[in-house]
Amino acid sequence: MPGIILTSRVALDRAAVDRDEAIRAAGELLVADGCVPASYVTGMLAREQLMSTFVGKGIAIPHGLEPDMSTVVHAGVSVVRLKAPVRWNDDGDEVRFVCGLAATAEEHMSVLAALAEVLDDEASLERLRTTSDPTEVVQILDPA
Amino acid sequence: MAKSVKAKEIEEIVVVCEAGIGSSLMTVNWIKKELRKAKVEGIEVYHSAASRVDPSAKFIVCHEAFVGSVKTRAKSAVIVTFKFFLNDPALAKLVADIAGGKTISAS
Repeated sequence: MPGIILTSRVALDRAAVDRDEAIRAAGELLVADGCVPASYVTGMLAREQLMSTFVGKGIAIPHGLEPDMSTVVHAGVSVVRLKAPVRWNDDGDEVRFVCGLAATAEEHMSVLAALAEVLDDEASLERLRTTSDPTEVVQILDPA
Repeated sequence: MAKSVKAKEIEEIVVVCEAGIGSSLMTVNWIKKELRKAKVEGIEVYHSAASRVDPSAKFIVCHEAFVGSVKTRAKSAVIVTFKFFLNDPALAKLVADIAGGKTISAS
């Protein structure tokens, strides 16, 4: 079974002027890989308006709304590392890592578990911040 | 009177979010991990989308943004709200209260 994050779903040092552009970048990687239709990206933007998906340490996990879940073709997670952080929410949190989620159930659970570990692991965070190799991002966030 | 439940009567914790594939899963994992650390056993923790909450759910943990719709669906549930997916003070208190066998009141 192929992984949930593939190197084709990783973009390092993308430029984005604001949160919505960052979400679109993460969403378009999922669209390009055939995980979701283009309409899913609209759902991601709407979902973020509803409630911030900021999880800490400069990481956010945008995803579609509940009605969008039935449009997911196959599960996948994209990772966009921004060139410079963008302001993410009214609390003033800044995000540099945008992990776009597409799933119908819990196919991506291993990635979320890895992400939770990374949030408590400064060494892994530093590798994510500095690596120039998408394969290393996959190894850290999709270790299975 | 505020709704409440005794810690030992909690069999299930339903974590509610909108779609149920992102933040609520992170919160489910976090609560499971903290309960394990506190050596609490026998409580099932799982997530549900806000629109699919079981009306008979007894104990719900819910992001404050969705508490309105959840209250309408699960009328008899004790609902604890939180703001942060991980390391939320309300969730930390919940785990401590469960481990300490206290009575948990709806927030």
